[in-house]
Amino acid sequence: MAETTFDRICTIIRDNGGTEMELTPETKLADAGLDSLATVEAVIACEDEFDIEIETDSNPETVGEFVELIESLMEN
Amino acid sequence: MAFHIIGTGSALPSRSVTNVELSEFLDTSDEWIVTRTGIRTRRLCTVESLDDLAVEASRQALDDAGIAAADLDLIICSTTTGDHIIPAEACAIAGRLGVACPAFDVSAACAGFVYALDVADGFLERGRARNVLVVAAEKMSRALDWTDRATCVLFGDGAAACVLAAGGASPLAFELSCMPDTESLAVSGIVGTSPFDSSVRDAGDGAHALKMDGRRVFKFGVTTICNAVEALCEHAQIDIDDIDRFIFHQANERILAAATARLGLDDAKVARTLADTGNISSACIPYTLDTLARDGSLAPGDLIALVGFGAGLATGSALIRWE
Repeated sequence: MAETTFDRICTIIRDNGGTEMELTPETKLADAGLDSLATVEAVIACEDEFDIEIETDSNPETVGEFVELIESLMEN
Repeated sequence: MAFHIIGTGSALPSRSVTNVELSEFLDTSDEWIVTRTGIRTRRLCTVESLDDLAVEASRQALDDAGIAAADLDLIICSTTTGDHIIPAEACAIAGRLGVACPAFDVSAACAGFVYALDVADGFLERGRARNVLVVAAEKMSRALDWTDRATCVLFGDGAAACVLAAGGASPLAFELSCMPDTESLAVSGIVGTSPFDSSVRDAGDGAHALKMDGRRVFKFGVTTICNAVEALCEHAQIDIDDIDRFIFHQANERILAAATARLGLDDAKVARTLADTGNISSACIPYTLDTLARDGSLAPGDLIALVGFGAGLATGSALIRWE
């Protein structure tokens, strides 16, 4: 089965948070190891992965919000 | 072709301050600072003035170049933290070197050295000078809020200089840009005491210190390094693999790592000095250049990409040939 966008983003979050934990849309980014700096690094990795540009003003708190942000930009 | 670098020099304050020392008065730790920035120590002025550092770096560069101060036709200093608002830091350098050539400052924050290099190139190209001293000198410690653990741990003091001589294979390319933003990284100007100025206000402690939106500047840093390197390659019609050394502004190890990964660079080609100096603003690039030159890491013919970036949000990049 092809990897979903959610799975691809979760891989990026885990890589940048230095964790192997199971992620759900409700998981807080901070609990996945993403402090503010690592969140920016995950944002940069997503830009490369999905060929989009993400404003740093957006401030997602959970995995679900992060995925929604990426998906909304991919639709444009 | 306009110039080649005939000498380099640098000077740091004698006092080295470790992360552990900072953690004695800030809620931080060596581990926290090292993991998030790559910085272990920084040099901070105790008794040295910025003039002292700038002059010492300049003398070293002149010695290395094998020319006398009297041979200089122009002195340009990049600084935003000079000992004087007026006169220019460059005038103080000229005074201490005992020369009366034109001397002025350039203000483009952390990108300032590359801007100064481009200005110098213009003078050389137009035949207005044969030998130019380009200095970058920064006393960041006086611009910081020493109660703000998010910013004061990042910076250091220091100066570095290059002597440029007319003729040579540099520059292969210059790219300067500004993405106007006066909020993300800023130090406010003199407030003064004019009784007529209603904007004069008592803003409280720390109000005049450096303020930074770390996330925005981090992302800008990574993006602008990548864009600048690609633009230099396109401008000079070379392949990125043809570049032997990358000297990026030393703001944060994680900015360097992210840009290196994004560009797919050989990590060994990306110079690092920030672990021992912190971010010395526009002095980072010439300091790193001097360090590489003195430890024998540069060979004649090496192609070097310089990328400075910072408040503005300004970016200054250059592709030069080491000769």
